[in-house]
Amino acid sequence: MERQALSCRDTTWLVSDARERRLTPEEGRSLAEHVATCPFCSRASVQFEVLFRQLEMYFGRQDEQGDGSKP
Amino acid sequence: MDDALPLDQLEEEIAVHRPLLFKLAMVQLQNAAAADDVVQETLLAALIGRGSFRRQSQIKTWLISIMRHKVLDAIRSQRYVLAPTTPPSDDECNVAVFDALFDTNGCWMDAKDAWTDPASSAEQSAFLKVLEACLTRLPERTSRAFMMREWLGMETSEIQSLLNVSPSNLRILLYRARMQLRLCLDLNWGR
Repeated sequence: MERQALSCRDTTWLVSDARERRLTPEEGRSLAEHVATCPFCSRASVQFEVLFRQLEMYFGRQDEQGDGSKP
Repeated sequence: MDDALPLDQLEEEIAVHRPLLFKLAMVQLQNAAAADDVVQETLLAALIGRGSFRRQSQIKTWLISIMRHKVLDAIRSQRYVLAPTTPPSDDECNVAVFDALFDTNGCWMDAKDAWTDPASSAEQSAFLKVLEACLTRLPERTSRAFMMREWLGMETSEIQSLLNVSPSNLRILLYRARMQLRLCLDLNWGR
């Protein structure tokens, strides 16, 4: 089955959604494929990773594990 | 415990952060008396538990993480009458503001700079300062929803019912917050 290619804009939605829910295998694959081939998205996704890590730092939540409440 | 700050020094350092703590509590509780109580409880808990403060972390971060539990408790205990939430404005749910970032095919218009985690502790506190400034610039309801999720760690279902928003509106609010924070950091940190 032919998959609809993701746009960069679509990937930003998936990156955000992934904070709330586990992406489907299909979504995860499309996201990974797009990011691997798109230099803009690859940098943007690193920026998001840094953002999320630093937010946890700021909120003092970086040491928490598995309390089920961490995004 | 040897490492604990002397009480008077800690009291002084804690007091500096009172306005920020009050602001964070107000965004969530929308009730000045409730926010004041929560800040007071947080400062007291910090003084009592000062042995648990590790000097390598920032006092502010330590206070914010203590207050997290107090705010959750205040929201869930229904001890306070919290102002009813008006649904987010159309403007806050409008994702068209990010259109300028993408071309008509949905591709990024602008070459992204890679920024990485701050390397030194000086850089770390500089980064968190920028992040904090970016957080305070989020629109009110966007900020409330985002902080409920990322700070308080609430499940989306709880946030939806507290804020009286649909799942799709909450998804948009959280998306907007993240997009806006990334953009704000890109402009103020990345280059």
